[in-house]
Amino acid sequence: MTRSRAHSVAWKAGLALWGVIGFLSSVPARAQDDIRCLTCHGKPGFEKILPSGKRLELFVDPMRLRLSIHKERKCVDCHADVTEVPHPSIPEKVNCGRCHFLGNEVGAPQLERYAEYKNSAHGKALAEGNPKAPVCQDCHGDHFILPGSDSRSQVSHRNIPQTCGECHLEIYAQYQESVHGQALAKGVKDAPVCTDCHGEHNILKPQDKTSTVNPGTIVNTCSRCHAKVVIMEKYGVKAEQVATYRESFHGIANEFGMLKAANCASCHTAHQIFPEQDPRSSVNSRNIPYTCGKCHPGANANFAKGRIHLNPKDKSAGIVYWIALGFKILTLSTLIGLLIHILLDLYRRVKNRKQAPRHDEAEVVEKSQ
Amino acid sequence: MKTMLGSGKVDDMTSQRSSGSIDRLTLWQRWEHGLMALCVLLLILSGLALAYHEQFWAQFLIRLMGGLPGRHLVHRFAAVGLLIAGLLHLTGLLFSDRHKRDFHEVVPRFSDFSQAWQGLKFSILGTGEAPQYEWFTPMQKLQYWGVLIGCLVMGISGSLLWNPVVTLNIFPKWILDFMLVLHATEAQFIFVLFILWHLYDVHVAGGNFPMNPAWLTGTMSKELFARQHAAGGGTGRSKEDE
Repeated sequence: MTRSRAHSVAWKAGLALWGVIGFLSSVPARAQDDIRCLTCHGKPGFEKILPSGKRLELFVDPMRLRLSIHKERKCVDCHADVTEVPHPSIPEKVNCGRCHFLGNEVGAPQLERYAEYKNSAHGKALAEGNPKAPVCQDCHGDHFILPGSDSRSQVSHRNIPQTCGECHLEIYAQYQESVHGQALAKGVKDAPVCTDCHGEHNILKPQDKTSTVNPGTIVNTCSRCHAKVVIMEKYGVKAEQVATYRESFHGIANEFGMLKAANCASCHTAHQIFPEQDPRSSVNSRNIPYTCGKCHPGANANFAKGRIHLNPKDKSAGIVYWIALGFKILTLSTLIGLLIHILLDLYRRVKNRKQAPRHDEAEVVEKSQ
Repeated sequence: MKTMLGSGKVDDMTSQRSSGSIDRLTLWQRWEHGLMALCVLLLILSGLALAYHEQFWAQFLIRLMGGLPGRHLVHRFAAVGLLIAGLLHLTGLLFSDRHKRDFHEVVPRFSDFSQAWQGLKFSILGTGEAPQYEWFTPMQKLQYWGVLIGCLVMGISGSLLWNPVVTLNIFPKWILDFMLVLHATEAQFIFVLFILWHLYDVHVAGGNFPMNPAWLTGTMSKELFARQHAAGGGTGRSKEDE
C-alpha cells in the first residue's frame, strides 16, 4: 500500500515537474531575457523628467510588446548598447538599420525603400543635423510596431494622417477638413492619405523635380486616382477632368515644361480641397476671381462665367459642343467629298487620255483659234 | 507702285494675249499671295502642332520652333503677317483700277451656280458641254470668298485668344471657350480645303500639273487659260469690261 502510495506521489510529482518544465519552455525566450528589463520598465508610470522639463515615459507595456511584429526580439536586440542592468547611462536612440539592412542574418525585411529614406527630405534633414527630423520610430512607433496592413499600426492607411500630423500639425488640420480627409474619416478606403501623394520613404520637397508633388509631376500623381473611371464614378467625380486639363492651355504648357502654368494644386490647393459647391472651395464660383487672380492679376467674375474643365465632345458643353460637332461634320464631309472629287477627276483624265490621246489639247487649240 | 499694281488698261492684256500668254496677276497681287501663303503655312504648322501636341511630329515641330513660347511667337508673328497681307489687298483695291476690276469679276453671280454644276458634270462625268467661265471660275470665286470669310473668323477669334486675360476682363469665359473651339475646328476645316482643294486645283487639276505658273510669273499660257476658263471660246473678262 505504502509502496503503491509512494509510487502514486512520484508519478504525480513527475507529472507536475513535466508540467512546470513544459510551461517554462513555452514562455518565449524573449520574455525570459526581458524579465530583468521589465522589472523597471514594466511598471506603469515609470518615467523620467528630462533637463528640458519634458516628461519621458519609460514604461513599456509587455502585452503590447508581445503583440508587435518584434515579439520574438529581445530588448537588447534593439537596445544593443545596454550591457548591464541597471544601465548606468541613458541608452542611445535605437538604430533600426542594425537589422534592416540588405543581407541581414535575422531575416528582417529589407527593401530598397528603406534606403530611399536617406535621400528623402526627412533623411536629408537628419543628415544636416536637424533635431526635429523624423526617424523610423517616429512614424512606425517603437514598442508596438505593426505591419502597415494592421489597422492598429501607426502607418496603416487610416492612421497615416495622424502620424504625419504629429509634426505637420497645420497641414493635418487642413487635411482633416478637406474632401479627402472627410472621406477617410468616413472609412472610405480610396481616400488618399499623405503618403498616397507624397510617397513614403522617398518623400521629397515639392521643389525637388523628382518629387511626386512637384509642379512637373503632380498631374500624374493626382491622375493615379482621378483619371480612373472605376474610382471616380463611386464619388460622382468626373474622371475626364484629367484629360480636359491636359488639353487646356495650362495642361499643354505644363506638359512642355512651363511649370509656371497652373497645375491641379494651383487651383484646387494642396490640402484644402473641397467640392466645387462648397463655399470654402478655391474653385467655388465666388472664389474663382481670387484663385485665378493669384496668377492672372485683375481676374474678375467673368472668369467664373463658364466651365473650367470643359469637354467640347460632351453635350453639356452647350454651344461649344455644337460648334465642335458642326465643324467636325463639315470637315469630314468636305474631306470625303474632295477626295471623291479628286479620284473622279483623275479617273476621268486617265480615261480621256486612253480613249483619245491628247484629245483635250487638240480640242482646246482648235476652239481657241 | 504703278508697275506693281498694273496699269489697269485692257490693252495690256490684249497685247499679251496675242503674244500667247494671259496677264493674270499683278506683281502686287503676287506679293500679297506670297506673303499670305507663307503666313498661312506657318499658322497651319504652328497651330496643328498645338492642337496635336501629344503626337511625335507635333512635338518635333514645337521643338523646332524653340518650345512652346517659340511656337506662340511664330503663330502670332504669322498672324500679323496675314493681317499685313490683308492690308496690302485693301490698298491694292483702293489705288488700282486693275484690282478694282478684278474685285468686280470675283463678285458671285447667279450664273455661277449653274456653270459650276455644268463644269462638274463635264469634268467628272464627262457629259454635256464645257461651261463658258469668265475671268474667275465659280470655284475660284468660292475660294476667294472662303479665304476672306475664313481669315475674318480666324482673325477675330485669334485676336480674342491672343491675350485671354484681357478678353476675360470684357467677355464671360464661355465666349473664350467658344472662340477657342471655333478657332481650332475651323483651322482643321481650312487645312483640308487648302490641301485637297486649292493645292489640287492649282497643281494638278485642269492641266495645271506641275503647277499653274501665274502665282510666280503673273501670267499663264493662252491655251491653259482657254482650257480652264473658256473652253467653249469665251473671252475671259466679263462683257461689261470688254
